[in-house]
Amino acid sequence: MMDLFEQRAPVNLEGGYGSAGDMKKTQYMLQLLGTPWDADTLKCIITAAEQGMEMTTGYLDTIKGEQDNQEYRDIFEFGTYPGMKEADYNVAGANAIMAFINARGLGYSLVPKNVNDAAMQDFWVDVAVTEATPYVNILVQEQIIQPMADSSYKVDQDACAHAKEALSKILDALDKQLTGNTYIIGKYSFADIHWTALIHLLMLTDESGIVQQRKQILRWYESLSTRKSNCGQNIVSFSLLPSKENIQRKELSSVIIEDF
Amino acid sequence: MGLFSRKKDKGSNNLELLGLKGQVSTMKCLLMAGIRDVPLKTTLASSEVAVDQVNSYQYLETSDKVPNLTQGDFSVSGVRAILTYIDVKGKGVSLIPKKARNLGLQNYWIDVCYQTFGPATQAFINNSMTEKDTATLSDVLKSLEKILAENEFIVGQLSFADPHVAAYIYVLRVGGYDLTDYPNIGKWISRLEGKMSGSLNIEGFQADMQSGASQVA
Repeated sequence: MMDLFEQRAPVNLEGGYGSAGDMKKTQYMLQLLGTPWDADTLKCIITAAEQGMEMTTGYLDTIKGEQDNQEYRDIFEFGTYPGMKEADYNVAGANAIMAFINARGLGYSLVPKNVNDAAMQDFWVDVAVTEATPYVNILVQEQIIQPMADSSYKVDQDACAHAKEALSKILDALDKQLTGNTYIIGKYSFADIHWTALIHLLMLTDESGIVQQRKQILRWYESLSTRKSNCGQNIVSFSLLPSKENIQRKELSSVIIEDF
Repeated sequence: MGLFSRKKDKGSNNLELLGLKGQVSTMKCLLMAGIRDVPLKTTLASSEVAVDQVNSYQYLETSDKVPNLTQGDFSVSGVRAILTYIDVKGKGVSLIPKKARNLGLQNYWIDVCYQTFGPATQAFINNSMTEKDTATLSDVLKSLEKILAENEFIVGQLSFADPHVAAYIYVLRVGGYDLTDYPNIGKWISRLEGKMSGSLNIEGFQADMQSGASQVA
C-alpha cells in the first residue's frame, strides 16, 4: 500500500536528476508533506533549493487536522509537521529537516564555523521561532486562511492590531541587525532562511507595510529574490515561495534541479 | 611562534549564566555544561513572572532575556544559542552528530520538546492538565522508554537531544510526576549523570529558588 508520501508527493525518476545513473542521486530524492502557509514548510523548501537537493512536495491538510490522522501518525507519532522522507528514512519538523538537508546537500554548510557567529545565528533563529512566528501566524490565519475557508469570516481586527504592534518591535530589532550586514549575521545562514519564510508570509498579508517601512529588511528581502543558491546551481530558492494564489489553491513548489 | 600560528585563547573569561529558577531552559544549559565539562558560574534570578517551560527563552520584568550567557564582551540569550556555544567550548568531541540521519533525529526530538513535550510539561507544572496533555505526556514517555531500551542515548550516540529531553524529565521529577513505569528513562538519566564531571543538584535547583546561585562543573 502506498504511504502518504507516495500518494501526495510521488517521486518521478523518469528523466529526473540522477535517473540515468550519472550520480547516485536517487538516494537523495526527498519527499515533503506540508502546507504553503506554514513557515516551517517553506523553510524546508528553501533549504533544499539552497543545498541543491531535489524535493517533491505534497499538501498536508492541517486545516482538517490531517497531521493527527492515523495514517500520518503511523509515520510521525506525535503529528509533527512538515514531514520528510528519503528512501527508508522519515523525519519531521523544520529544524530536523533543515539540518538533514544541510548535512546531505551540495553547498557549503549553512551553520557558521565561528562559535560567536553560530551562537548569534541560533539567537536570531530563536527570535524568529519564539517571538515572531506566533504573531505572523495570527495575521496569516486571520487575513488569508480563515477568509479562504469562509468568505463571510469576520477578521479579528483587535488580534491583528496586537500582532502588528508586537511584530513592529521585533522587526525594529531585525532592521537594526541588518544595518551594515548583507545577511543577518554577515554570511548567509539558517537565520536568513527562518526569516525569509516569515517575512514572505508577512508580505502576503494586509500588513506588508510593516516590512516595507523598514529599509534594511526590505533591502535584504529584495536581494534574496535574485540570489542564486548556496550550492552554486542555477536555482533561486526565493522563486519557490508561494503567492497568495498558490496558498488559495493549496499548492507547494517542488525543488527541481535542471543544470546537473 | 610561527608566522601563521595564533596563540590559543586560554579562556580566562569565565562563562556566566543568568537563569531562572525552575525554568526548563536554564536546566538545559546546566545539563549541557555538566556533560561538556564547561565551568559555568550561574546566577538564578528570582522573578514574579510565571516560568515558561515551552520556549527557548523568556523576558524578566527587567526586559532581560533568560537564560543568558556571557563570556567577556560576548553575550547571547536563548537555549539554542547557549547550547551551541557551550558545546564548542567543551572538552572532546562535539555533541552534534556527523551522520545526517542522526542529526535529523536529534533535531526531531528537540522539536518534539518544544512542540509537544514542553506544553504538556507546562500544563503538569501549572496543574492544568487536560486529557490530551495527560495522553501526550504518557505517549512521549512511552516512546522514550522504548527508544532507551535499545539505545544508550536518544539517537544512539550522546547528542543535543539528551540535555533537551532530560531537562523535562528533571522538571517532571521535581514536580512529583510518577516515573516508576519508565525504568529505562531512569537508567538513561543515570548514564547522563555519569557523563558529568560535577554533580548537578536538581533538588537544590528547586530548593534554591529564593537565593539563586549555583555552580556546575
